[in-house]
Amino acid sequence: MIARATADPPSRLGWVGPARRTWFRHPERTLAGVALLAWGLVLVQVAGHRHGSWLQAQATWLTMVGAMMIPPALPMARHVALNSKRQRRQRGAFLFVGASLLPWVAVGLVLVTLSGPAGLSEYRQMVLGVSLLLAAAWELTSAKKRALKKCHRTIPLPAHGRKADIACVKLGLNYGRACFGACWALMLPMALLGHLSVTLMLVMTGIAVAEEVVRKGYRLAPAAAVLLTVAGTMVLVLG
Amino acid sequence: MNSGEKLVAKVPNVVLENVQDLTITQVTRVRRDVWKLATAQQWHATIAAYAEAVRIMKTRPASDPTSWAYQAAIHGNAVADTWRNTCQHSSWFFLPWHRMYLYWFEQICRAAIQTSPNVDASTKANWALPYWNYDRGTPTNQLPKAFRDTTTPSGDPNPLFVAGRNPSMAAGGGMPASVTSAVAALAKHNFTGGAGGPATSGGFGGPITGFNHGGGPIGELENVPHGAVHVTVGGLMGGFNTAGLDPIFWLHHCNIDRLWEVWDRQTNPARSNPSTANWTTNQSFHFRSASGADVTQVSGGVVNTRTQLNYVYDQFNLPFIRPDLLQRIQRLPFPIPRPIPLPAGFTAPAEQEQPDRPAELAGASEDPVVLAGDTVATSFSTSGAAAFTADAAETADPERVYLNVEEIRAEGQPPTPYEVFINLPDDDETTDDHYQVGLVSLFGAAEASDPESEHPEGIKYVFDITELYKALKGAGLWDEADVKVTFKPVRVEMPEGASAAFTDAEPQADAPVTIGRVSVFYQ
Ligand SMILES: [Cu+2]
Repeated sequence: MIARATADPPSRLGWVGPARRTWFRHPERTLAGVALLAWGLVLVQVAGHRHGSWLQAQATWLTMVGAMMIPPALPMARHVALNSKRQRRQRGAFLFVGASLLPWVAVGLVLVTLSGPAGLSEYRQMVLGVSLLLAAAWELTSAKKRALKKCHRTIPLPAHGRKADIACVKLGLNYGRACFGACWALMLPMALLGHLSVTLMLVMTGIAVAEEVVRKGYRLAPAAAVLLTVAGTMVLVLG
Repeated sequence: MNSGEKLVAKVPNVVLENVQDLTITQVTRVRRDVWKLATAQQWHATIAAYAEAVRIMKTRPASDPTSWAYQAAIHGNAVADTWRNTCQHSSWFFLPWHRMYLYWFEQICRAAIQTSPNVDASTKANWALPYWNYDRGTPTNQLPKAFRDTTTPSGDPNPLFVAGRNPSMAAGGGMPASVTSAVAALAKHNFTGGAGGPATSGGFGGPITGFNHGGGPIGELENVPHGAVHVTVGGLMGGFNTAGLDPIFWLHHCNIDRLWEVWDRQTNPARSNPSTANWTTNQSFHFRSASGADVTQVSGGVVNTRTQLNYVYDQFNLPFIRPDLLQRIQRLPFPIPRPIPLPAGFTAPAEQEQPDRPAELAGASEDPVVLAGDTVATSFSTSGAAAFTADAAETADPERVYLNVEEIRAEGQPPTPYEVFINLPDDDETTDDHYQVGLVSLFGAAEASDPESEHPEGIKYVFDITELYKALKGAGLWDEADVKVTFKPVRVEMPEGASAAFTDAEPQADAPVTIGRVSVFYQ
């Protein structure tokens, strides 16, 4: 018994109906666009050079972070937007997502900086295989389950002013910390090696999104662990 | 009455392992109003037999599925399994799950009674759980005396008594109408809530969810009187994990179960239970039969108590009008902003269809509100209705207005529910009703605050205040720059002549509740 739609009066934008309703119901669409853009850049980068300057390595890492870590954050970004005043919806959602990515920026500054000179790419197969198995193992820990639950924790969002901005950033930091706890192992191979195959990155994003978006997503962890173990073993055995 | 039929043939999706159970369930049982029984006789045979069943169940070890401890653990327990810790709250499964729970509990009680030499043959043959209809004024809003006495007439410990209840209730205090009245719930036209977004209410019976132990928006009946009575009785009744240990719990839930049927029987417009397979058949629940066997049921198997479960209630009247409330209606300076108890035949004010667009935040409190036992208020500004319209419909006024009470955190069991008012002008108690939005029961607030819980976002209340908003606006009492929301702790009404020591013993706020945000949404 869900309430049915009442007829929409014609809007100033001149378009009505389901498309318009979906548009207003999903303010996180802008961030979804940013994630898609990042995927586009990833495809371009994969096709191009692998090794570049420090700056290039950082840019590559941040593009992958945007492509892979924004999608799981979209439901919470939507929560932020719908709980903000209309004129603040995008601002709130962007502040939230921006703050949530900060732990990954820090990871980039440390790991990406160190991994290049360490010459890890010479042992690419091994590093990749082992980190996939590590990610599989992490899936099965209770720490991962706890982190996933924390990802859904919200805080009060004031309606306007600096307090509203601060709350969005704070929620982003809380979420980012929890998300880092849940996904660090999934992102490790990218931090160490740069790009992987697009298929593998899509699979990993799929896992992150499914676990974050589905209620009780931790129930998917065993399946994710199997998937990652198969991938890791294939990389190690088949090369 | 299909008394000759076997129960198993009438209940789809029920697996009955023990044929012994069937022999005692072949007549349609009548669940009766405990206060009618208690008025006739404090220890009416039906009440005494219930006490006997509780006593027998308490002698069984907690590992026995038919024991008192195990039955309470089905509702809430530190450790979850297929049967335990499975109660459904903040969900459209709240009503069917508790109906099943009561059904199997009643079977277990009935089987226990059969073994007792202290129960007469006619009671053994006809016994059904009584229900506690607390909404018929004094004394029905008090705990029946058989549940308050520490000993039985023979001097033995009374199995129906538990320590730790709200001292005022234990002393014979009565719950106010804001706690006991189901009128706001019964007025709901839809079983489930609205079209999504932050202002989605739970409708009459709860929001559409999967298996849901707690957290999230709540159905109106689950809030009041259900949650409000839980918290006002207090003690064991105040928490998920202990509620089933207070014998009054089962009578309280029978009343909630009865109110579901009262709602369903209303016409104008006709009410209907959900019909989608996600509600009727796709989600099954596990219980234990009188022999301790595993039984499963689905919501579609419990919608008709007479034909599917072999019991009925003795009456289904709409809540009747109370003289004190009638007086207040006549004093109202403007149209009634919210439904209040009216006689049978009463038609709820038309509940408008919810516009199919997300509600928009109009304003919210800047800082959390701490409920610590006293009246407390918060004020904030809302954006004018005109500003709201540009993005949605080009109408001058919002079609619907909501008050959300959200981001609620509680460290421990909330000591009392709180009545919620909007733009209360002064401390004059006689005019409060004109500004009352509803009540937050806070039942389950602590459970949903646990970061380990499935719903760490806490519980949430969504009130549709459209009518009140219009009334206040019409009376010039809605100022966009200053919307005030007041929370008043519920006070138990002491009967005349009750000792002063008890009236002072109001629940203490040893566990303050924090309301993270109070907000107004326009739609
Ligand atoms: Cu309950």
